Amino acid sequence: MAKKIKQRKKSAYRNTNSVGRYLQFYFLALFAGFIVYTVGGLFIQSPIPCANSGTCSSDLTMNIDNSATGTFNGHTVTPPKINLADMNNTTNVLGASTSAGEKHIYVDLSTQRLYAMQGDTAVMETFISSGKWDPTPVGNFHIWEKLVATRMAGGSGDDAYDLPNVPWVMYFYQDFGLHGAYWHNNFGHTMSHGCVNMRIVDAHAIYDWADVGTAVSVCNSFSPPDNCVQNNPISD
Amino acid sequence: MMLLKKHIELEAILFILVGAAVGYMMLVYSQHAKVQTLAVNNYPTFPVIGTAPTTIPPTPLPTPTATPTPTPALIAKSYIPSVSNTSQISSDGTKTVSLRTIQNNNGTSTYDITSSDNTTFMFSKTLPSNESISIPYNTWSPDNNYFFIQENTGTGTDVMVFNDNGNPFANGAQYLDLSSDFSKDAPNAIFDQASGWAADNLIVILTKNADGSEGTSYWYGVPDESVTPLATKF
Repeated sequence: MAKKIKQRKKSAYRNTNSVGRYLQFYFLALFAGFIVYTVGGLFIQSPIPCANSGTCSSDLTMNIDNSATGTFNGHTVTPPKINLADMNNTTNVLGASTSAGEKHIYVDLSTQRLYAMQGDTAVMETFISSGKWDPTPVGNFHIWEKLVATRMAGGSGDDAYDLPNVPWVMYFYQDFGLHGAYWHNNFGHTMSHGCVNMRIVDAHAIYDWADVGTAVSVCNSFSPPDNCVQNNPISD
Repeated sequence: MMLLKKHIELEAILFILVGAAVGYMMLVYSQHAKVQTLAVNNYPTFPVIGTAPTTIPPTPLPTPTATPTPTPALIAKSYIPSVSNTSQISSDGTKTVSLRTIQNNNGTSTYDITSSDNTTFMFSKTLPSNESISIPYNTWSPDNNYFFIQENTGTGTDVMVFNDNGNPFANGAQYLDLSSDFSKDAPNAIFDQASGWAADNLIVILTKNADGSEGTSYWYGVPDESVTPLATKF
């Protein structure tokens, strides 16, 4: 009898002991999950939304590398050195003395031209290069990010590109943006992977003029003063 | 007893692994959620362009600016040549190539090309009235070491490529005759235009087919004068 009682006590103790152990394991598991979550966050970065190429990896933050070389069309290109102190000097702002009204940028894909409108006044008209290897999205957008310079890379094979120090970038739809191009000078003809390329001076002028939130309309054709034709525009 | 201990150890490892896996999944999910937030917050919606017509006066691309020559009193009755100037800057705005056109009294025009803010005289040519010289929009190479100009010969277009510093090329020529090189290397192609620069040393040549449709594109190498047909049409 005494032996039975002793065995029961032992069994009860063992049960209590194993529940405690399970609780320990449970908290240990929680702790392990917490450690993986917090430490892993330091190493795993958010994937960048990237739409202009299946393999692109545009950097949506300012990125300046004055020692890097770039690649475009199978050729090595030397990016311009960027000195942020110089970049902060604004150019003569377009339409500053004459124009008032809402700012609106129109891109005409058929003529490869860009029109910067302020109210009823065209403060700038210039040639651009839109998407050749990937189309520039047609639609109505807003500038959602402005970067003095960043790195753009993507494509594959002969069309691979890796371009540091891309100047005067203004993203208007996902990672499609308006920006200066130092690697080619063939404006008025399609030359990009979906972005809207401009001469560096033009990109600088429009960068200083436009704001985050400025409207950008990409049109299949645009006839001043008011006709922006869009075939199957994508929704923003 | 040993079996029980082993069992508990295995369970402990299993718990930790499950915990780590859950932590990893939460991490991945939260990173994905960040992207969604970025996409939603940063791509604000925009109303469709208003249908109300607006009046927008067109701003033309750079056009020649006329510079009238002062009229000396003593030759007031003689012919006054009109002079016009055009120029084209490089992409970064640091270089300029300028064209001064003088209308002569015999119907011809004299074209003077200078580069780098009129400090380097590059080229001069007098042409009959049905011919002309122009500076294309994409004249400068991306690295600003070269530029090209176009001569409208009346029957076609000649393209000449210069060193920015005015120095002759390795073959001793002051300029590279793109049109001549192209017709030698691609005799069957119909030259349309030299549209611009695909890279620091590559000019894009567009051609057309006999029916007027877009033909094969080429690269013209500077300064090696190579002509390369392309699979991609530019």
